[in-house]
Amino acid sequence: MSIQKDLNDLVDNEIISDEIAEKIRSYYQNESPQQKQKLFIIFSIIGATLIALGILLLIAHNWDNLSRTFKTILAFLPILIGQFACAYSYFKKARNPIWTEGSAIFLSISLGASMALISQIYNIPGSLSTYVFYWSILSIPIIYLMQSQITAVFSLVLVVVFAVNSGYGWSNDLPEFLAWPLFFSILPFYLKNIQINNKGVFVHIFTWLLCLALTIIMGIHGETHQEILFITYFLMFQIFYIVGQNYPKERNYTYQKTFAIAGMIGMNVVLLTLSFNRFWTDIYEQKIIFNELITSPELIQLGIVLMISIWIKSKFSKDTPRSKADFYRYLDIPFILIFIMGYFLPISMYLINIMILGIGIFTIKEGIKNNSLSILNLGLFITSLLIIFKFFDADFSFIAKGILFILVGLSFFLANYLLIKKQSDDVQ
Amino acid sequence: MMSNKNFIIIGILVALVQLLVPAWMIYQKELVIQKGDTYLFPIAPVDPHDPFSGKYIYLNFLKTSFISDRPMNLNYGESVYAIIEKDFEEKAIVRSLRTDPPQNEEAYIKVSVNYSDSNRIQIEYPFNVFYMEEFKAPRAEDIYRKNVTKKGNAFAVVKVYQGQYTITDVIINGKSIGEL
Repeated sequence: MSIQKDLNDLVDNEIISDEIAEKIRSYYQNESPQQKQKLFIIFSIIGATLIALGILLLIAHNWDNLSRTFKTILAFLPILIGQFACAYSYFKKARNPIWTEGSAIFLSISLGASMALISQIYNIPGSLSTYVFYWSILSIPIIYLMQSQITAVFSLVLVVVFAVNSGYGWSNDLPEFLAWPLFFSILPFYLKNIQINNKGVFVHIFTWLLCLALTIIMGIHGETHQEILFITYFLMFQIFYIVGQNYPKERNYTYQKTFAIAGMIGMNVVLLTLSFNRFWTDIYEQKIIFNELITSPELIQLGIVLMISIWIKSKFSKDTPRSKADFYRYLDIPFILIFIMGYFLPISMYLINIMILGIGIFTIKEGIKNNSLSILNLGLFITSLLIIFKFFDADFSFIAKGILFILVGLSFFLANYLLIKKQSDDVQ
Repeated sequence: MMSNKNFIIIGILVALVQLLVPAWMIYQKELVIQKGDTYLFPIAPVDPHDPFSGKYIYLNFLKTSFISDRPMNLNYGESVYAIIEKDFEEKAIVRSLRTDPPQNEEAYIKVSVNYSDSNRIQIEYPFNVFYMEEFKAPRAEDIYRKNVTKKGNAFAVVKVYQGQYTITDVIINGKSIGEL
């Protein structure tokens, strides 16, 4: 072991004492089994997945020599093996995660495989949304029974696939709102894991997936009033942001940072998307039929998200903002006002652009004030994206665009240089 | 953490449901095969641009247009019920289209609307694939492409029972595609 050699050298050269060297040695010796365990869990998941897929492919050959009855019995085999493996790992392997995760993911895949095989035996073309719907319904209980993290991730992916297939106009076999109960049935497992181990890999990965899944599922109700989705998305990202900044009181949990970043990115993306003229001219020219609007699924969904947003904000209103960079929490009311104005007056595009510019400049100012390179560059990034978008919108010549890009690039260099210089001056 | 007793009870329930869903799928299709009436749906040559998968042949149907005696206000993708019966040559024909499910003993299948121009409606059947053994499927595709003409010399054999259906064979010039 190289660390052993290094430690001996360090002790020989009297850089560290024998006592410290011993402490370091025992730390690494205790640490390594955990690392090995993690590696074993990953291998068991990959192994189980590959075996499940292998069995599936073997049966998928559709052996002509086998009778239909035999083939249908075979279709149950992967499920039975998976169920047996789950029971075995629960009772005999003391819920060892290597066994638990491997057997749980094997069973989850087997469920889908078995349904696919039966579809093949009976020539059922079937729709992907129905298939994935049943697959996720059958998989979700495994998450809780086996306490399997990989099955939670897998089931969330299935739910998203269902949402995309049923909600984005590809299939109308099942109502798209069913994606919500499926989604919410996975959530308790995540919340429980936050309490148990909020710095773990699972919570970290699942938080990102959760933000992505919610962003996708939120769009399934888009029909005739899709523009309303922009407000819904804006409020949703703001909720992410506020949750990330405030909940719970002890900060620096990785998942909180994820929510805050996802929320901030989301809000800026919504604003930048709305910085183009075309969207606002469409909205302005659109005739609103009030009765139709009030009963549209988009508005009902917005109502629900708005209530959650008000609830979350009222819950955290007593907290004083941690810094002025927390201004994202106040953007919802101006945004909604600007948006509604867009239906009646042709000025919303300008107001949105001013808003983005404001965010950009304010973020740059905060970056300089707090001596933070990352905040400074975020501000520069927002501002320059806005400028570049506007330039493309306005159809300038190549020369003008070229000069603009150079100027934006130079401003990045200059601002970063000045801040780094300021930081080193401060140190001295 | 769940107690062992709870795990056993809930685990058995979940395991049963996990087995029941595929079993139910099989039961439904077996019921159609045992009790259903056989209909021959004339199939058409396939469009060469249609994607072929290695394991099945994609079926293209001949008679997908239906002329209704009254204008039907249908949209693309909408589901309708096609009442089917056999003509004098035992081939399946669509007698009528309905928007609500038939109550009596008629044979019907749920189809989706592909195109609609008041009286003229083009439908898409819910079955369009026939799975075969991995190594036989590419050869069957070839046979299909070379032998199926627009004259209606080939059929998909479909069992229909109470709105449920299953393709049991594909016949070209009187012979099962598996034997060709």
